[in-house]
Amino acid sequence: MTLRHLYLILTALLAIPLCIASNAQLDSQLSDLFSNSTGTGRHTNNWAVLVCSSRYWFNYRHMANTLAMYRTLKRLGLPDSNIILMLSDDVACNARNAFPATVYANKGRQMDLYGEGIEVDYRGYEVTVESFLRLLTGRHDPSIPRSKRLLSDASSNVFIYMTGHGGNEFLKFQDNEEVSAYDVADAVEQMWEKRRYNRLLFTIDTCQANTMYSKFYSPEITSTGSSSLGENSYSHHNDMDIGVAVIDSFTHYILQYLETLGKASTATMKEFFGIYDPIKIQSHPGISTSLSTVPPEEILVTDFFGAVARVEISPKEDELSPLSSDLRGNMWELATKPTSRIGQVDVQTSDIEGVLRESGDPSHGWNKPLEGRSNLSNILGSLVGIGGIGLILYVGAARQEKVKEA
Amino acid sequence: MLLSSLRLLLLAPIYAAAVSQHDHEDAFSESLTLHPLPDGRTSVLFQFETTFSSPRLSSSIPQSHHSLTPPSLLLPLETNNVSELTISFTSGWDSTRFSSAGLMNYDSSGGGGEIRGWLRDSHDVQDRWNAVTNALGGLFCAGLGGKDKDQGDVVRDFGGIYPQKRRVENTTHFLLSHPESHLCTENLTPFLSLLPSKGLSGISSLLAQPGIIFSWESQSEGIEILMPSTTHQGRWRGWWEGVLPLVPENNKRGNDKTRNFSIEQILRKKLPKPFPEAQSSVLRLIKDLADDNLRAQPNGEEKKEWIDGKSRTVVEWDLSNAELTGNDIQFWWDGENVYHYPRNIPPPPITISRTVVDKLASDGTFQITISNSDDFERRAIYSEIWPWWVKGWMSEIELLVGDRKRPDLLENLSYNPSTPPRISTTTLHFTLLIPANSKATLKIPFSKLTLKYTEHRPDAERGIELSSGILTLLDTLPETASENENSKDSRNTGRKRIYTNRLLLDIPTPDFSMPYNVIIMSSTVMAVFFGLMQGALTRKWGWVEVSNGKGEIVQEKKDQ
Amino acid sequence: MERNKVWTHLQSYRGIIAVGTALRLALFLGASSLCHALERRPELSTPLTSIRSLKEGVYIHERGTNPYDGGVFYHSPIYLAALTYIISASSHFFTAITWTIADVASSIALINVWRSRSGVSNQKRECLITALYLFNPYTLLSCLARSTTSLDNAILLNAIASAANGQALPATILLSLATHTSLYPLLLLPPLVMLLEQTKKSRQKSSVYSTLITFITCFAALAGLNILMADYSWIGQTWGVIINVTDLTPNVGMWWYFFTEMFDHFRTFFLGVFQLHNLIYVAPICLRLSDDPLLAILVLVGIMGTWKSYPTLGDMALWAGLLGCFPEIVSNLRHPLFTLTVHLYTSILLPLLHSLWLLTGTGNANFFYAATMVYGLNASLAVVDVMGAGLRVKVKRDATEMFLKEDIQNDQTQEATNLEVIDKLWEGKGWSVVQFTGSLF
Repeated sequence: MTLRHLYLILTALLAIPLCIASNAQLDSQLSDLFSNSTGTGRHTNNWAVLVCSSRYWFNYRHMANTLAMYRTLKRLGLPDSNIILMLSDDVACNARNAFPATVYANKGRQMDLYGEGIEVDYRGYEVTVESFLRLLTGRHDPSIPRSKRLLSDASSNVFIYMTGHGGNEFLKFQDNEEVSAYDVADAVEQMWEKRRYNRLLFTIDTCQANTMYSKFYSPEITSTGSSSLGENSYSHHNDMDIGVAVIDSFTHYILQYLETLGKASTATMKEFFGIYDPIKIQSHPGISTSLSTVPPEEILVTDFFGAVARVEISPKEDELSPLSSDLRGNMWELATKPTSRIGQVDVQTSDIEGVLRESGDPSHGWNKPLEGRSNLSNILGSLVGIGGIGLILYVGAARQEKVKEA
Repeated sequence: MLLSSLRLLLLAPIYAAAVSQHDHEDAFSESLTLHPLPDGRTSVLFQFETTFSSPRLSSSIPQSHHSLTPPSLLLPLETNNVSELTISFTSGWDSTRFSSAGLMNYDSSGGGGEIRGWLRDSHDVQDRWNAVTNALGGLFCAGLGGKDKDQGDVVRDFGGIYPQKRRVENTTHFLLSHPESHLCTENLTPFLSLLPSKGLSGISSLLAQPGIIFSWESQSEGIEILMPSTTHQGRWRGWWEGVLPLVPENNKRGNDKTRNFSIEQILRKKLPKPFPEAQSSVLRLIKDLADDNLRAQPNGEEKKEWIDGKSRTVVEWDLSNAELTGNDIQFWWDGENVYHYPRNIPPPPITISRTVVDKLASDGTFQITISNSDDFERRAIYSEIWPWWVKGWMSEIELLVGDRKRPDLLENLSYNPSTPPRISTTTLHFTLLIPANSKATLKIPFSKLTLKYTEHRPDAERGIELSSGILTLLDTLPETASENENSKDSRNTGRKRIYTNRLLLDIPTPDFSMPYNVIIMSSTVMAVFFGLMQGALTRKWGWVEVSNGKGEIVQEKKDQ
Repeated sequence: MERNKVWTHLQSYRGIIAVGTALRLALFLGASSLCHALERRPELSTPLTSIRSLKEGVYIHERGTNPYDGGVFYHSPIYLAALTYIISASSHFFTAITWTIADVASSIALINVWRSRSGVSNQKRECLITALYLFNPYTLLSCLARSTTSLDNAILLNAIASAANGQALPATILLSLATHTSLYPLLLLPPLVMLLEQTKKSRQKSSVYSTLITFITCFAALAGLNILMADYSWIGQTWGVIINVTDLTPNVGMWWYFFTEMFDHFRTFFLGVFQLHNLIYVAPICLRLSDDPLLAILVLVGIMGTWKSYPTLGDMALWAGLLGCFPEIVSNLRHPLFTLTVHLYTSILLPLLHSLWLLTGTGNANFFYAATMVYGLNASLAVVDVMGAGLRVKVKRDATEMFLKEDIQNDQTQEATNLEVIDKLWEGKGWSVVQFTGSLF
């Protein structure tokens, strides 16, 4: 009998600090311990899909765009296994390439983008609209190897980069077929429904690129493109020995900026967008942040361009009774259905600064329903969990008692 | 005493097992072979061989055997009942290599990519093959899987051409040819990562230089895996072969027009330290009889060997010799001041070439010329793989020797036609005799079927490659059959198969901008016809009387 | 005297046949390289009818392989058997004779059709019909190209001739044979049955049912024989190809380019549309022309020759030959000259544009497609013209009959069926046939 009392007292004593510490202290301590302090998101892994959709030697610059992006991602720590590289032609070992097995994105040919090691996941004729949409949605034939799949989950930040020849609301693949803005938007919606991303950055460098992201309707997408409706995207410069243009303007300036960042950089997407200069790029890059609940100044560039080795720390009480999991299920349902969808805000560079300023303003009302709800549920969950622990301890003590009595 | 001997007897199998376990340890060996060719080029062959014993991955014994053999390679093969598998990519070989019957590595296929192997039979063997090709295609960054879901382009009747190296009962041979694929850095990277030395040490470090390797005239990459069985160890061998000119036409080396070369000159690196885990690490030079004045410094160990139908001198350097590490080996031809390209190169005993004659946009004739410069008749099988849109006319095949038709030389013809419109392949095997000192010409007329608009490739105007033809010699003898060299001739060779070049066939294309126009116009003609017929069939007919231009109309209803 | 006798002989249809036979044999044996070149012409033979494919199939069959296993052989097993066991496909001489005999049989069948239709034996007309068929360049070239279309035509024409003569059994047997070899003659079954009903002699007790049963029995028996020879694989490779149009080798028809350019997901739908388009005319034409089933057959043969999946110029030859048996229709055509000149035009255009695209490789597919469009449109308009002419003749006959009945004094009643008399009468009265805009019903 005395033992039972002892248990109860012990439980109460344990419960009080647990109750206090569970959310505030313990979580923060744990996350301090495990997480990357530079990350802002709740993501634990990064994925990138890099697509060059045009074939033929004279489109060398598109291959170079994609490969330069690939190299930058690898430099910022993203492993090859998390990069799906689609190259629709092989310029490196093209018979017309005077510098075999190399691809350069600058006229001095200082840096070989092909390098010593490269993994091209889809190459040549494999790069089709079908394979691209299958890749995004994850609807593959069972025999397709893992290296060709986008194995992202609900806590992945996915970066999609596309380049090629396009037009109003379409991008040509291999000079043969097109993917439309609607197709991409629907595929991304499927990704959201299947919890294949946490946040998505869509970047496209093609003619009239901004039309390509205009049809997105899924949450948590930040998109940017090289040129507005009716505008061409131009190449940046030629290399006389290679004989073709080596890189596109938009990608060139992005890469120039990314080159200044390191793995531990705290630069935000706002700074990233801030480098857009329509005069230098020769077109008006667009930014669309309207679908994202987080403003660009709160997203780090390394959230997409890099590999955040972050461990997800689920609150301890998450693994408890069915009641709490029911609660969490409801919460998930709430989270997947954004209560208010902000109207589409397509930004042209002319207003970029204005928008950036505006978005910095708290009165702009960036929607943060997820945060609030999750805090509430955390408290609820932990209360229920502690109650559960108490109950178990109590029952355990009672049984002990009975055994003793027997 | 008795007890202890009994114990020994009881434990003997266990000891034996332990001992044999020790024998079956994984082993790795690497080699680099140089073979100067008579046309001023040299062949460079990297070979890496690993033996491994992994009874079953599913067994309860924890596996510790993957230190040398990567599981990413073996797992898909073990789970899919593979007993043997070969992957080969060859690019650039088609046009440049004429002084030799083929690549030094006998298992390299003709132009393009190829995956072939033996799978143990099961009810879903086709699906398993599909899984293997896709898995290895992903591993090698090359689309090796079939173009067709139903695997119509997989060939199953090449088991006789590529026999099993190790006899396993109840197996099926599969072959999938991808003549359009070529080699680049993305294929080299996974190849190196499969090696235990990862391209970082040993001979593989010489290979891990894509900028140099891919500037050579031709490259061939491949792996061959024999899966372990209860009686045998598994073995996998990877090779990379390149051919480079020793006297480049655009001579960047100034006036130096000799063939002199060194390891550092062609590979831009000094000799490396051997890979620590390697059992052997050798550099080899193969000298033809004609290259008697080829010298090397420092000297290696010389011996005579019978290679590819000829007696040759092999010079060997053991790289584990510490003196060589970090040094270079120079090669030169004594007394050669200026190298002149020979006007005539003695041809290999059997040569084969394939061209298309009677070229029309819709028809043509394959002309395969096989010349035999030996003094004896040879027996061989000539095999072709065609995509479904090539329709051969078997009844019009001709075999000519000189200008005379010689149908008697064509012993047998095995023909497996494709099944259009499904993606499928036609395979052909001719068993034929090639008379001594003569040139046999095989003519196969063919038509090109019309492909649907959607079946063309994005670059349809470029044409589509056809796989290399294969000449399989049926009368070859082992290289080591007899020690007496006088009794050997060119038939004593391990080279059983000789490949033709690939062919790029252009196919008639529809106008790709026309689909809507054609649908509209054809449908219009149909609608016009339908409308007129309907009018004629359903309207009333009658007659009118036309008099003096005015026309008093007399109408009579026609009774129907 | 002697010369005169030869001349009179030549004026008979037998003489024409003799000349036609001699011409064919001379060309076959004397200009075999021409024949060889013609064999490859896509206008004259499709993969389904070409002698080259047939030889290939026989070659494969003789080596003990089933030619239907691969997708290279689309001929009926009947032809395969005939050219394997009866005459050797590789023998130029025997095949030449077979194809010549086929053409002769066709022309004799045409004479029989004419005789049974007109009920008179008009020497001049018979000569004309024979000459029109045997010296029609389409017929002659198809025969020299040894396209199996010539054989199909012979079988079909003999079936029609037998039906026109009221011989039910041979008619149904031959029709089932023709259906086996080229499938589309199945569409002629309803008018043929109607024709048999019309022409049956009182002593024969043929009914629709017995004719149908005979047809089905024959058809099944032939199918059974084929199955014995080449199990079931031939069905998909012969009829299956005709229905699914899987071989898109260019020909003069409207299908190949349409289905080359068709988007994959619409292919099945349009296949249905195109096949139904052939099928849809059978019932209305048989109903409308129920009093003249032979005319219905003529119109349906024309439609088939234009709109079948693998047409050749030989199909047009069949139609043109059959048209020769209908002089009253020819004289009532609206634009015969236009039809004829466009045929001349396309016969130059088709080989020219084909060689530009597929032989020299300087043109593109649209060139040949345009030529087939012209050919198809012209053939379609000609069929409509014949249909209209047939109905016009009918109106003329009926009206004349009615007029003559009213005018009792007239003693020309017996001659009311004579076409020349009708034409004269109509010309005198200033009458002409018109098609009203109102509906029939």
